[in-house]
Amino acid sequence: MESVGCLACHSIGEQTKVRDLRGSSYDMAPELTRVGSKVTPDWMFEWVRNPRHYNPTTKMPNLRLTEGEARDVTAYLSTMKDGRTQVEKNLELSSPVTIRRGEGLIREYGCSGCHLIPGMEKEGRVSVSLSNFGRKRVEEMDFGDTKVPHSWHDWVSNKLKNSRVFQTDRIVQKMPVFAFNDDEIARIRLFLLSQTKDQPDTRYIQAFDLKQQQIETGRKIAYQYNCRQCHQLENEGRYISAIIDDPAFLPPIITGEGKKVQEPWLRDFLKNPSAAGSPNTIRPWLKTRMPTFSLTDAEISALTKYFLGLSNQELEVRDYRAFQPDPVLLPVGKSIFTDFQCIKCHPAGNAAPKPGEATTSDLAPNLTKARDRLKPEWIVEWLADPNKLQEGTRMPTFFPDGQSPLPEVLGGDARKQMTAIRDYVMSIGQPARTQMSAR
Amino acid sequence: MNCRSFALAALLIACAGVAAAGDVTGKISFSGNAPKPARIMMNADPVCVKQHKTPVVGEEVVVNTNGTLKNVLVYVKEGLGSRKFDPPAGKLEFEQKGCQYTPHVLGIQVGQELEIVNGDPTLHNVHSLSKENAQFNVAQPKQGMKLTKKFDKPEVFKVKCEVHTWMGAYIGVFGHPYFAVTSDDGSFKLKNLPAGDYTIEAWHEKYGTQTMKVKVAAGGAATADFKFEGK
Repeated sequence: MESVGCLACHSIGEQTKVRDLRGSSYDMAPELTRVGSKVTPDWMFEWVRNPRHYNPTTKMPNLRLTEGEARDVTAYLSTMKDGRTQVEKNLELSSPVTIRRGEGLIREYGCSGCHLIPGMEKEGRVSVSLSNFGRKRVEEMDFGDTKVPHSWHDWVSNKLKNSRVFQTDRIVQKMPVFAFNDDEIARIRLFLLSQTKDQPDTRYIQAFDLKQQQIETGRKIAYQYNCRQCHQLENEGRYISAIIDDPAFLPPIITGEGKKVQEPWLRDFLKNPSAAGSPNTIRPWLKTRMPTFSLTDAEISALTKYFLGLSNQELEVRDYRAFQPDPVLLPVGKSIFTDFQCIKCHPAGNAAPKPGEATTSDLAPNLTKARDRLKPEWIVEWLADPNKLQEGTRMPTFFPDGQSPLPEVLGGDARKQMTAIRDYVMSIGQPARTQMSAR
Repeated sequence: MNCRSFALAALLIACAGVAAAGDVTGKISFSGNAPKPARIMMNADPVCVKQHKTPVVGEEVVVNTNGTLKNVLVYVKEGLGSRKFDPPAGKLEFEQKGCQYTPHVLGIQVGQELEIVNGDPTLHNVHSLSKENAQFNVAQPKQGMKLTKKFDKPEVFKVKCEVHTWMGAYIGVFGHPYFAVTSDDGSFKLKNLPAGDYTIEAWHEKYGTQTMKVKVAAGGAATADFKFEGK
């Protein structure tokens, strides 16, 4: 539970650090302190293995737990109980009379307004529309038998404080009592006041061109799936940092993802973050897992355009297979790669360190994947100043202050050297692929 | 008072300050159980292994033979008021040798130059985890490479090497010259402190900080002995 990332969204017992950092208003997942009293272990096991199996629209993603991991998580969560003893209730569950009465109550209180109940999908709206509520006149409001002053504000405040306050013997009210606090009441009241069918003056409506609209669509999806809980995106987020001390072990900053990764790679990754098998294929050192969100193609396309837009790139999917390393720079790049001992941390195809020689190789991404993943121009920018693109990264700069430590290579031109390394990195893995197809 | 006599008065006060200075000396004694020094396995890099004939152990807690604690950073925490101190001219050296940092704990003054040297024929990177000062993370792929750094703000921060995960050291930056690091005899001396009341702090990477108030009388000296305890 602590390693894969459950605590980024769920608070459990005294483990509330992420909530404390972001505020309880952003709790998008239930607290699990007493979940063992609520659900059965069997149900919990199925749920954590694949939440969508039970609820296709849940926001809970799939953490790709193995059967053993799911069993361990279930065992732990089953111990999270409150002290209440469950009284054995003698319920009459099979009588047609009680069933019918129960159905009637459920229809009457409009449970299907929020819950999906088979057979009640077409129940329709359970309460009044609020779309013009800000213009509702006092004369249209029923104050029941109360002495509440006759004003829009007083009616709304009292209704939100106790939703049944205006009930009389004749007029029954069914709105749930939400137990809002005063601050919440003030916020909801302000929102309701804004609910009018009036059109704002065109001067106050921001006109989005197509590109901005596309960016905005993706931005909404990124909020909806709560990417910021773990990632830093547009200078906001990484709330998971409350439970991870070392920045090198935090999920990456993704604001610049659009200029970093190739669009086809991003599509495949979002579709299935563990396509290559292991839970974290890009950054094996991370314990936190990028969940599988089961995004639709439309959502992936919108997110891709959003990332491209954030990086001021053309909103189009490009093909990078045509990239050709410069034949002159390629061998120089390889020699710098050796000189810089990149291999000490980056496993890189055939040049990977011998077994037992390096245990540090899990500390940096495997570069055989770079040519299908990274945009060539990004690699140069990354080499120039890694910390600028990914604050707190373990990747050091080899060119401090833009100066190369190798004055004898390519005339000491740092930029040219970076380009040479780039060309070599983009070529790693290629021979292996040719061999594969030849076989 | 005109300018000239003001300058003269200031000079007199300055001289009087130096004349009235005293040393704060002390010892960091250690009691209780120290954790058994952890063996460092350098197998990840054969170049590191080759440089050591005997097993290497971690330096997190080093108890000296006389029952004192090594690598404790002792410094004036409060009491210097708004005095300003120019950084000394010389460079301090911080070396990566045998895939370890030398020294393991280092004190330096704001503005003073630190020369970071790679003494090993292997790749090292120095990654500062500073909070007040700008972080840096620079690779030194060749033996003999040097990097010079200065720090603007006082703080104690960790430095680590990402290639060799066992490598860690601490750098304490101070706005004054009154700091010292204990070595093999566990003693320290803060030289020539102007007369006054001070809070002295002793910092250890595992056992945290302790403070003590001392009075340095005009022309006198003071003692500040700290006791750290293992659990």
